[in-house]
Formats: sequence, structure tokens, C-alpha cells
Amino acid sequence: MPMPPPVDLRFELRPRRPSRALRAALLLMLLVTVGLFANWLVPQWRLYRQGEAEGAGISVVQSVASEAASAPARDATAVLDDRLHEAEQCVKGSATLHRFTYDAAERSASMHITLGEPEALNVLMDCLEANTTGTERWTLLSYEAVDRAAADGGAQRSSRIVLSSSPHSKR
Amino acid sequence: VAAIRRHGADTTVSSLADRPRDDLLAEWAAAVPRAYWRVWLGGSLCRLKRVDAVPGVRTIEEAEAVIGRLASDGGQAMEARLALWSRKRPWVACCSPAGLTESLMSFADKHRINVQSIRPWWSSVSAGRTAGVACCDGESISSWSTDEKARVLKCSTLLVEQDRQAQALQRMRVSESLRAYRLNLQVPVARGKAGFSVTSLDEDADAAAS
Repeated sequence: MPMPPPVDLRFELRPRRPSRALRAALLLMLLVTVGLFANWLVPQWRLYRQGEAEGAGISVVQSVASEAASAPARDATAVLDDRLHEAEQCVKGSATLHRFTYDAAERSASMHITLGEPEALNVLMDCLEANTTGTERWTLLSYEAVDRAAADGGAQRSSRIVLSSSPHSKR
Repeated sequence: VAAIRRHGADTTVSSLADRPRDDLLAEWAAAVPRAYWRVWLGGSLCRLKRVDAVPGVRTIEEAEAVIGRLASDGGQAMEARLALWSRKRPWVACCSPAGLTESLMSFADKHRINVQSIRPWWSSVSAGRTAGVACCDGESISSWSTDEKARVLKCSTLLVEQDRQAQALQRMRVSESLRAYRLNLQVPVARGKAGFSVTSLDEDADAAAS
């Protein structure tokens, strides 16, 4: 019966390539990497589209509301964030946002903002109230006047305020 | 000597004595562009060597480097290739001139040839269930002996010209029983089969080739 040479003598002189197991492991790693990347990219893309929609005058509240059932906390944050953005536009150039937090359990939000001109407070509050949709109510929690040394040697006054927003239903 | 064979075509045999190897291969590559090649090396380009396992060697690449060094006698650098590797059992290697496979692969890349394998020609020979085999080509005799489990006990490649091979074979047969085959490039093998035809030197009849 014809027999091939013993296994010891079955030489293959081509340069060795990675084994199938190694190639499979590399492929798996690649797939996982692609999956993770896609997981990061898709939300980024949605945010980008959302930004574009905002620029085109489409109400973000509407788009957020469509997803409200799945993520109510995130939606509430988005609504308040939107409200803040509108308020910032009212006092454009004279306000600096330091912190914006949302407490999902309490359904309340607060912003820490410094106003370059104390008069801007009224403008800000009016603006917030004018844009309320009936689901939240803004209240002033604290007000602090801050004096800083100006370039001409005098004092420059600004205001540091903390606002809170809570839904009407919580009253 | 170099030879090329395509499916269904006669084998073309050319001498490398008066022309560079790559020129000849380039001519063949141009005849059938983007072809798939199986490269078979003569016994002198693929010398068998059996080495006792060197303690402390951790990988097959390290073992091949050790054997390559051991085989590089007389100034010609050699590189070794193992089909199997064990830390304890003796190593059976095929030793080629250093850089040979690399140059073949770079030639193939340059001419867009897909090299499917590079093997010694006697890899294609199917011998009977026998303890000892000797394969003769125009430049060398490669021989091996195996035990009942088909493990190689002894192997070597003897560089000897064709006109002195009968005498050398006779001497080898004094100490061991060998079934001998001679490469016959002129006889076409079956269509669709890779490898070569061989002539049995014992019975002067064609042996199987696969």
C-alpha cells in the first residue's frame, strides 16, 4: 500500500504564518474593537444629528420627548439643559456657567452661574420664566455679590447665583 | 536543473548551468501570469539532518536556529526547518541554503505568483510500508529509516553525482534495507496530481507518485 513520508519529514519551507487559532483570536479582537467603537460612535452621531436639528429650528424638546419613555431622567436633563441654553442666550456675553446638575431622584436641577452684570439677573429670570413649558419652575436659591479687582484699579462687581428648577407637579 | 510542469502539459526541463535561476523562473512566470505554484526542491537544497534534542531550547524557531548553525559547515550558511518539534525526541530537520526560501518568496511577490508550498521533491513520493527509503535525484541521495511507529530513526542526504549513485546506494544497502527510487522528470504524472514520477531502483518499475 503506498504511503506518504513519515510526519517527521513532511516539511513545508514557506515562511510560517500565524496559526488558525491565532488568526481567529486576532479576528475576534478586531470584532470586539469594532463593536466597542460602534457603541461609542452611534451615540456621538445621534448627538451630532440632534445638534443639527437644533440648528435647523426643530424643537429638541419634541425629539427628546419621543424617547422619553425609555429614558425619562435623561430627557428631563435634556429639557433643562435646553432651557439653560436659551437663558444663556438671553444674557449672552455676561454669564458664565460653572455647574449644572440634575438630581433624577428629586427631579430637580440647579445651575451655578456667574453674571458679569447684576442687572442680568432679571433678564435671566425673565427669560427662564418666559420659556417654561409648564413642566418646571425656576427658583433662586442663593445670590451672592462678588467684587474683583479691575484692571483700572477699581472693583468690578459680578453676581454668583444658584437657581433650582423643579417640576410643578412636585408642589 | 529546474523543471516546470502545468496540468495537462509536458514537463519542461532546463539547465541552470548557463543562466541565472531567476531569469528562467521569470520566463515561466510570464508564460502563465498570476499562477499558483508548488515549488519542489532538489535533495541538495533540502538536506536531511537528525540532531539530538538540545536541552533548554524553548521554541521550534530556536531549535531551527540551533540546527541551522550546526548544519552550516564549510562556510555555507544554512537554515533549518522542522516539520515536528519535541523537547525530548531527536529533531529531524530539512536544511536549505540560507535565504533560499526568502528569495523564492520575494520573486513570487514580484511576479504575482501564489506559492502554495515549498517542499523537497521526495515529499510527493508515496513509498510502500517499508522501514527504509532512499530517493535519488541528479545530485543527491536522501534516505531515511523508520521504526514500526513510523518515527524517523536515521536520515541523511548524501551529495553525490548521478554516475556514482549506484555505487553509493550499494554501500548504503550493506548496513540497512532500503527501497530506492529515482526521480524521473521525463515521465508525466497523472493529470491533476501534484508531484513527480519516480522509478523504483529495486524492481525497475514505476512506483506510485501522489
